[in-house]
Amino acid sequence: MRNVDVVIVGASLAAAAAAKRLVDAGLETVILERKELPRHKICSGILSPRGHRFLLENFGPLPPETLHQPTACRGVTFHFPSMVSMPMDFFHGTTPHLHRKYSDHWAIQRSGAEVHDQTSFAGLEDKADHVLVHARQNGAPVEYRARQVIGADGPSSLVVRAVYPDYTKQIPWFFVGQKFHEIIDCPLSSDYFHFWFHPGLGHYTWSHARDGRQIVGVGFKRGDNFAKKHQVVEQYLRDKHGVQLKPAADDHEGCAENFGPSLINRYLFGKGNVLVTGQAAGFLNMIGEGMSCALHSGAISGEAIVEAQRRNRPVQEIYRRMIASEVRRCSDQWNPLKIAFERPHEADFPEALMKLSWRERGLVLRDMWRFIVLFKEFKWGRQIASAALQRPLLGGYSMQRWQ
Amino acid sequence: MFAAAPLDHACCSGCSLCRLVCPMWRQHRDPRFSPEGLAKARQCGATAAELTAPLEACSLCGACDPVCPEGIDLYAMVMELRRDLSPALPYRQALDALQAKFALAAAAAEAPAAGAQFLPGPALRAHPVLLARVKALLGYACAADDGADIALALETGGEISPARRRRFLDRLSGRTLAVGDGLLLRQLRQWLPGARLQSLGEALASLTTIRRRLASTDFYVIEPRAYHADYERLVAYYDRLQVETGCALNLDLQRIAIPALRQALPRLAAPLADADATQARWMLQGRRPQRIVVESLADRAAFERVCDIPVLHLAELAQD
Amino acid sequence: MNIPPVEPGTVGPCPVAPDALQGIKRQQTNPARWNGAGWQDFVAALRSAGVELTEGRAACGAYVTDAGGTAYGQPHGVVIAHSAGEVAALLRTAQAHRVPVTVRGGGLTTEGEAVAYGGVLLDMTGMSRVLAIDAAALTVRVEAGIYWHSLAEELRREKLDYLSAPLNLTSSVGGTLGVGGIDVNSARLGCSADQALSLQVVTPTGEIVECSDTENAELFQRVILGYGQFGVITEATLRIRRYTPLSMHYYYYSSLATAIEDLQMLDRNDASDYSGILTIMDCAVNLLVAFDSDEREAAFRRDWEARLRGHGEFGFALCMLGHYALRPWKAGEALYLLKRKQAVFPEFRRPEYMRDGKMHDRSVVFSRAVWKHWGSRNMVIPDLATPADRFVAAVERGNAVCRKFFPHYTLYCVGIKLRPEHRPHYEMSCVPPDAEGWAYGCEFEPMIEGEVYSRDHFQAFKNAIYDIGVDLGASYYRFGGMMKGYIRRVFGDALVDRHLAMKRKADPAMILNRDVIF
Repeated sequence: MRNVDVVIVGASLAAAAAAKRLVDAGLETVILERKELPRHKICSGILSPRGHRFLLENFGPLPPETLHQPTACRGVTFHFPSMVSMPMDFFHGTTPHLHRKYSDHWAIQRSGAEVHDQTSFAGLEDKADHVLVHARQNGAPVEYRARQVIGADGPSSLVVRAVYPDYTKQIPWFFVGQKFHEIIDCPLSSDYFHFWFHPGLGHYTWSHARDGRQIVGVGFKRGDNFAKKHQVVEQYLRDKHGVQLKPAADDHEGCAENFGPSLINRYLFGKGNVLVTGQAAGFLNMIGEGMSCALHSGAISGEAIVEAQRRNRPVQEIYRRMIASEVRRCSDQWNPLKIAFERPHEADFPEALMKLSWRERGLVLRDMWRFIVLFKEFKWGRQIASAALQRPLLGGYSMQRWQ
Repeated sequence: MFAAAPLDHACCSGCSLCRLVCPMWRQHRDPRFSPEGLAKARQCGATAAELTAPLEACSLCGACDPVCPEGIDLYAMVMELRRDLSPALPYRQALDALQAKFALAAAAAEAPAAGAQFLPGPALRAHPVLLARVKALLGYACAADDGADIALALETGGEISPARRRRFLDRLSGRTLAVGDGLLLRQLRQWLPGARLQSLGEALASLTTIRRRLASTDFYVIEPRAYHADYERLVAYYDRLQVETGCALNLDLQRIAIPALRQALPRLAAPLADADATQARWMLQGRRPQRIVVESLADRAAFERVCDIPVLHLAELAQD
Repeated sequence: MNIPPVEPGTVGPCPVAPDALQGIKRQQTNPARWNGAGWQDFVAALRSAGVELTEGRAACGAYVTDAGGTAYGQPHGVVIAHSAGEVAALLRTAQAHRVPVTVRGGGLTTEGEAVAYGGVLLDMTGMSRVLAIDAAALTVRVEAGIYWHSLAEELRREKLDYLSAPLNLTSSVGGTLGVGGIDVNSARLGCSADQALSLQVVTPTGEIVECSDTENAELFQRVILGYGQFGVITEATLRIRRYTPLSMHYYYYSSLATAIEDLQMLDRNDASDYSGILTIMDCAVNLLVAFDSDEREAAFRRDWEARLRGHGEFGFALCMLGHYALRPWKAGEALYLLKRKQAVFPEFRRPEYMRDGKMHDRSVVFSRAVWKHWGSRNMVIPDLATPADRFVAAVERGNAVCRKFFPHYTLYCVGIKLRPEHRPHYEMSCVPPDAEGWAYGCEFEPMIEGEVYSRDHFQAFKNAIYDIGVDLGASYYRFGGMMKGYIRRVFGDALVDRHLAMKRKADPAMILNRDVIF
């Protein structure tokens, strides 16, 4: 059995950030990854500027191999059913279009942690002063003994399932899928990430250019048919935006997503010596980008362990107190009061709105409302309202709601 | 929503203020030889055995305690580590033998009469003339059992049997006490919350017969262990003493007492060496007093080793 | 696929390179650990050169972070300096084996400058003795690892004192000379680095060189305020003075701008020996003024006191009472002020430090108070240094940032007299390039108060303050670490590249304090 300070499950960006903090402080850290590295990852790859800054400050400039074409993204364009389009540049300039397969591997390598790939997490036992982690390496069982474990294995986290067996049944799940099309003609600017506020298309509908092809993606409540949903979007883009695409290649992909927790301040941060971080904890920015908050929350999980070990304090307490800043940042983006009166996002929606005519502004607000109604069935209204009110009253979001 | 953290080595944020007052650091100029060094090493998981050298070198003067801005009980940290270290010391047997010798003498002591007592400690007890003078000055009885074995056990991390402790304390509880040994005084404050306790130095210096004989050309040497154990009160006490008498004190700019002796644990029973007296030399640097007045008799040897200025015990100030 | 690591600071022809981030050009500030290539050979060479090196978790773990507590890194080994010869041997060997060496004095850096990301950590506190005091010439020669407090202890035995030192007794002389050092008398005497008359420096290639304004002047100019890039200071000769107790006066303001204008008025007219501003948020602004002699104090009372717009303690208490009576919703703030006053004020008036109304040992009084009431596990004190005319704007903008990030904070403002003949020292330093006569500095210090924050929260706060500096064309009290990203923005590529070329020449393997500036 291998004896280490910390085991991190999942070789993601959150894991790289956590590992960086742990290794810097001299803690022996092992990252377990189910697949062989570098591994493929389903993702739009459009990083927010804050995430870019984190990568620069912690891992250095990105090598070209870690990027897709076009290598940069200027901002986001919102499209509405009333055919108003609002391009918004990111506040802090262009951001990278990450090739997750290589960017994640690069960050993991730069973190300095030891990586055991083709090693799948199989369960854990928290023994109060240490955790036993069971895994399978190329089919054979292996065991690790760690002081703490970090679950950084994404929305369908196995660590979360081990610690919170009932959790997956408690939240609504979405499916997000994307297909890659050769382009015949595409009037959508390749400088932007395009997003549609259209209840008829899906809960999350987007398109952008990658490596000479156009991605058409759609997210919806789990249970619907991806092929059908995708076809509707493709048709809509052709009819309304004049986007002419060849039929999609075979390499389409999709995954389950858990957005919602950051919207209603229902994060999972783990129990005992097991910390949960990144999207597994429920972090997701409003634009559907999870990398920047994964990096930051991952780093905080590492910091918390360093601090807890050095100060001899309960790690959950330290983690929760530290993570409050990231929760504020992330949940602010979903907070209607913040959106209305401040600028919680990394692109300036109010300014773009003010550039429109009065009539267009009215249409945009109407369309957004209709889009929000799509989410009515999840009954988040009261929780959103209470979270929004807590923010100015408590100066943050209530820790009582975290698990 | 979260419990307050205990104030122990884990709270050390590394400000280094304790180094400035640590005689062990002054000698070694090595960060490991300071309370901060010990606390940081503990944070990194070092054991008492790995910290043997600084733990042996520490003179338990307690100077670090009042300067710690985090309020960490550094003295308790060192004491605890010394207790952990103690059984493995190669000279443990010699220490135990010494402790047994003191204990034997204490066991022979008869139960004292009622009233105030003073606990001289072995150094003063070895000077019967001075002992008698202290007794006369204070008007207290001299305790036949002054807990010398307990003081030694505290200093060396040795064991004190509960029966011995009970017997010692039963005879003292509820009395007014003047205690010669600073370590013992600190411990008695915890053990006997009801007793009226003073250091022997403070008890003597408070006597007008003595105080009015202190001159502005004197260098007054406070016994550091008792001083740092009750710092907030005594810093004001000695400040008044300084204003009233004009004498110089062995206080640094932070008003921390500089210890005259810096005897490492393995050398406790050995005769004084030159290295043990470097502190006394530092104390006198830039100073040329006409007399040195010591509260603790043990300090006298250190000064006699480094200078030819007359060294008097506080009790010797009073004329017959 | 094996992706080659890219050295920090290299910028490829790529739209997402660091300079693509408009407004927030950033560099790697949590450097990757040095890979340890050739470490064993280096250790063997070092041992045969007679230098003691300690390895292991307990020895290295003590140096894992600095006073800032936001940058972490472990050295491969630690050397405690004992002599210049030993430091020279270390640097020669390190240069030959290309092993990074990070120098640490008091470890009071806030951006990780004293944190070793692998390689050797050279702890200078081992060299901390006073070598010679010349009471006639008023100079002292010290080993550079000495703490200012230890120096003060020794000088006071001779009734002498240093000129100016940081308000923090555990900063080392060498470290201070490398970055600046600001005291409440800096408006009159300049920064601590300006007190140095000559230095013994071990160059990055391991030569022991004596330098001053007349001897090896160029090295002297680079090492003073040089952030440890051009050599390790092993000894220093400093100007000192006769010791005097001081009489303190406090004036209270409710406006930052008014207090700063008054501070600058006093400085311009040489009306006081000590001056500075210390605040409780922006609510209670305390202008402190102090004097070394009764004559100076009398002259101030006669000529200048009436022109100050601040109140005495009692008058100010009445003002505050009125202010908060009209604003009951700010009761929490008022309570905090009261609590803070009760905790801090007695600390400055402890009877054992006062004689006849004068304060003795100001450095001890201030330093104890600093650690007790402002210090914490994280010393997060971003700062700005500007020419006099832009100072009010800098402080007011920084104050707004503090309000946004933390419930409670303190500002500390002080003037720094510039010496025209030291212009070359000031190049690319904490002194803003266009400052004339005085520079002004302000520290923005949040009160952590037992709270636990993520490093990102601190960094975001610091960036917000530092961005003001870029915007105003200011400099900073100190820079390095995360501040690296700001150096080119503040000083421009031409100047930085010139210094980089000098650095490469002086330190071919770029081993000395490599993650601080370049």
